[in-house]
Amino acid sequence: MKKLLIAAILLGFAAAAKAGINFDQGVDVKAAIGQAGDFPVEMPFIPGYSGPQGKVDIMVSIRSENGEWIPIAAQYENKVPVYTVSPGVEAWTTYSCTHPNPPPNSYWSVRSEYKNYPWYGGHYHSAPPPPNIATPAGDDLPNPIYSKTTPVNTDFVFRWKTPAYATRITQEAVFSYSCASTHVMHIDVRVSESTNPRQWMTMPKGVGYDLHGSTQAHPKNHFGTVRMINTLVKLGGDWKKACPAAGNLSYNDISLPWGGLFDINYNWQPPHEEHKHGINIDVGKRQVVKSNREKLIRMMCDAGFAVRSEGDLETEKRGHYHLTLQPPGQTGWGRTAPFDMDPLGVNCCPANVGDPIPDSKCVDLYDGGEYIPEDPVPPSDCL
Amino acid sequence: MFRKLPCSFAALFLLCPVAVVSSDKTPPAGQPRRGYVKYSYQVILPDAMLNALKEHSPAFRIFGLEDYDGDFRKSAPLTFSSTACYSAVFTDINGDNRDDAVLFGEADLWIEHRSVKGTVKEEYFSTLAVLSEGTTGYRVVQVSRGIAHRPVKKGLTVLAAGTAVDDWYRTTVAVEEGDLAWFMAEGVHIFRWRGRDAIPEFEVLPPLTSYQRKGK
Repeated sequence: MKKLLIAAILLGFAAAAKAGINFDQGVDVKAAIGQAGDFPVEMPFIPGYSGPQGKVDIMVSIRSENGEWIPIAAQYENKVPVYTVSPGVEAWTTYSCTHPNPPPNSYWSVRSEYKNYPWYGGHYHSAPPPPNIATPAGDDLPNPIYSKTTPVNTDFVFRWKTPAYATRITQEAVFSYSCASTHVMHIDVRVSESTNPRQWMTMPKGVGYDLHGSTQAHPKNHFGTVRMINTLVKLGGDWKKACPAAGNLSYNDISLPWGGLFDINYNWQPPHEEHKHGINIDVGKRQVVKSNREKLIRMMCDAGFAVRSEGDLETEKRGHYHLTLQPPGQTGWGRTAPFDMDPLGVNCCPANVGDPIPDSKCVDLYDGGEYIPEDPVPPSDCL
Repeated sequence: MFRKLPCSFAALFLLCPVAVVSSDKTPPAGQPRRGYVKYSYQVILPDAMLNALKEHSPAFRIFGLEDYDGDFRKSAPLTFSSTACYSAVFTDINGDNRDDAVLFGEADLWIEHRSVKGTVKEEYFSTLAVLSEGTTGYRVVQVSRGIAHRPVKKGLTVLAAGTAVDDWYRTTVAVEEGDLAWFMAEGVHIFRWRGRDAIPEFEVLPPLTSYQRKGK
């Protein structure tokens, strides 16, 4: 009976090899997980297996911008390992079952299932549901994913891509045979800026500005870097001093609690290309009378923001200024802000302090490409 | 530009499907033939409206179905009606029991603005209201003008009373019966007539999303 069992296992390995599965490290994910039609498959269960007890190793790596694979160190939350990775990067999950001196024909397998909890990232919406976790090629990652029955000391690797939105992905791995055990880990997908509580905070209430844009779907919409928040608080205070009779500035949407894609239409898609790293905000145009807008633009440029006027295009429903905080020590004068929704928007910071505002659309009001008349324009009430 | 309708009553608008036999394209073997019939529409103004419009804006051309973006047409299917299409609606805006018209089109309107490249001219599309005046007359008022984007992705509609959500504040806004609106791929833009003496006569409400008709 035992000989039959061993023969069956060896036949299994031979079939796996024939199917293109390479048991070496760094196997191609498609080969490792088999053909798409193979899922889900039941792992072979061979009763009476009595191989050695091995040690489980789990590793999560991400691909850096220059193509290197960087292992992520786990932090622990209630004894559960937590790996923090950036949105939209290629990741590599490695499971292994090791033994210093495994006897022949000792083997293991694993079944790994993930669950996705986007509300950790600030997304309290589920219609449509978040897209499935994908492979780097864009196909759905099988869930659960099964390894083949694999010799001890051989890794099982699968590659996947972290979603563009922030979320917590919990992976539960059930190991069988020589490493029979269950392991749970969290993979927190969030921008790196948000992981340091000394560098990331939410916008407090303050003088000279109001916070808008919070919704049931995105109730916390004003997280940003500490430098960003401090700059905005100061801008509000300076605005109040410069234009005490004017209304407050309207601040809308910095970033979600863990950053990442800010899907303002709750569909896990742009249009916001920015608002991911806590250094962008939208400032309402309607809330500022036309005669005060040039003053505001100059104050924003001086405070360190590159300023774009948006709303004069059909793709941008609402007239607003889109601000991008410049690196420390830099002002916005002459800076070009990356576009948020449409590359045709206009930049509003002149090259030099005394230069005129470069485009009259920076001061005029448009919503969704429609010119909004504001005549008669009251005089500026700034000092 | 326009087709005259020699009548004074309010039969203002005609929707006419135009059948086109697609005989020039043979689909590849094994594939079903598509696109046998093509639809269009034509806006027909009564003489008095037409004269007022020509006097105000001689070059004005009401957009036809062919001016519209294909994806927009899929997302906002045209409902056959004798008083509404993408580029024209007929309704009593000023409450005098006579039909008025709101028309969306182009009039070779170019407006200068200052840019980093110096002064540049940019084309605008116009939305005009042809409002009844007295017992038989009409006058034309500009409802709005928007930067020209082709193909066109905005359709006119007359809204029923309801609610919509303000795009910026996320607050609920009351929509009044008879409010005029652009419907776009996302959200609506509402233009509300405020009276003959108001400046401007049509108020442009902030962009709204999630319009919901009362009672639905």
